[in-house]
Amino acid sequence: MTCERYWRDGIVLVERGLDDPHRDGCEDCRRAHVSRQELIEALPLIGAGLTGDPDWQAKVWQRIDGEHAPAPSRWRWQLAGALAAACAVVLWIGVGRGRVPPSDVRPRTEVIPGDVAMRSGSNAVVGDRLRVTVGEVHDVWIYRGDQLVLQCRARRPSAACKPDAHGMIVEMVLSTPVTYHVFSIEAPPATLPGGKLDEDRAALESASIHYRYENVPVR
Amino acid sequence: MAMWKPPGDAAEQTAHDDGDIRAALRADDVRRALTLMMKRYGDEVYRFAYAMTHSVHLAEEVRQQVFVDVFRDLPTFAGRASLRAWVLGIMRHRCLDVTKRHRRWTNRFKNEPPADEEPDEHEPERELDRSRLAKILAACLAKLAPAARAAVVLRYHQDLSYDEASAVAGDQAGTLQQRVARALPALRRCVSARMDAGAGR
Repeated sequence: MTCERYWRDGIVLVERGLDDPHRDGCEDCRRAHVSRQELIEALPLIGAGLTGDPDWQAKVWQRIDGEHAPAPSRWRWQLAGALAAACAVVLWIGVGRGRVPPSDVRPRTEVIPGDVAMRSGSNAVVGDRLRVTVGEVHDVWIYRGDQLVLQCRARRPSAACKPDAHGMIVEMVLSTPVTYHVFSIEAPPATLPGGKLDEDRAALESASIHYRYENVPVR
Repeated sequence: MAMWKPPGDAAEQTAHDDGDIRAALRADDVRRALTLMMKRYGDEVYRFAYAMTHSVHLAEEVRQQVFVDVFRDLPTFAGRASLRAWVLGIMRHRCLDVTKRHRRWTNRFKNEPPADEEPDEHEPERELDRSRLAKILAACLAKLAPAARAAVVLRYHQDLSYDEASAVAGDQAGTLQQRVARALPALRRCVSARMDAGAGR
């Protein structure tokens, strides 16, 4: 037996520190009160004995000192600038002409009518093909209107998501006269998108995940 | 079962002990003040965060963020509230932020977020019941609405009086009393159901 009156009204009186005369004459309510007492006595047990990361204080200081690091003095800026310029020249000569590292491939979206490639933003029509080129660390999510129609995961090739030397090429036919939305997501989440454009974009933003977005209107 | 303590005792005790922290602040030694605060409140903040988030990872994230915020805001701490209440106030905000973000993430992405790991500890036989009850309670607490959860945790996990909890939460004491009075029956039903399910196995 439980005393519903106690859990509905009596408990309010108890929390307010008031007397509950009904309880004195009601065995069920007294039992319910004992049950409440056991519950609140058990609440401090939650997490008891847990202490977490033993290095947490050091990590707090690391973050604080990182955030409050003194601004480099002028000569340090100049030295850093000179070094950066030298590195850029070396990279341009040594790497720029060679193979682009896969992770550095900049996501690119194209619309392909027949054999002639055009940049996105031009007038795509139904029957054209959409091609998205990304590095090997990117996921690609493509929405037709506000619905997810294609998802390609990094390093997981499929019929529409083909690996190439630099990462992945995603191709699909533009079958409907609506706007297609393309997300190239760097360091994507482990979980899957829900499938709704606005909600998925909001989730990416709320999780501070970096992505590149383009839309392709189709006539 | 833990012994029930009159509300307010813990707060009075720690407020009394915060003289060294206040002295460090008066001497503009914010780093020492933070060191003392982390030592004094670090575990409490972590357990509070765990009760609020039901995740050891999120609890750790919250704890570290809380003390980064504390360091930033310590120089402007007015000293009207107790340091403990001030820290718990910051904590409550961070917990609600994390809970909201976590929920938004779970709602947007259909998959559940990675399952939290149970604390891996060797438990002596006599501790099993208490440990099991604590785990069930933590899981049931996580099912409450964030505001109700915060009210229950402040009042009965942190052992604050309603007036103290009110100062931390920024809500009227009467509002917190109502939230707790509505939350406890739900908590009890959830705990009973899970205990019964466990016993039936």
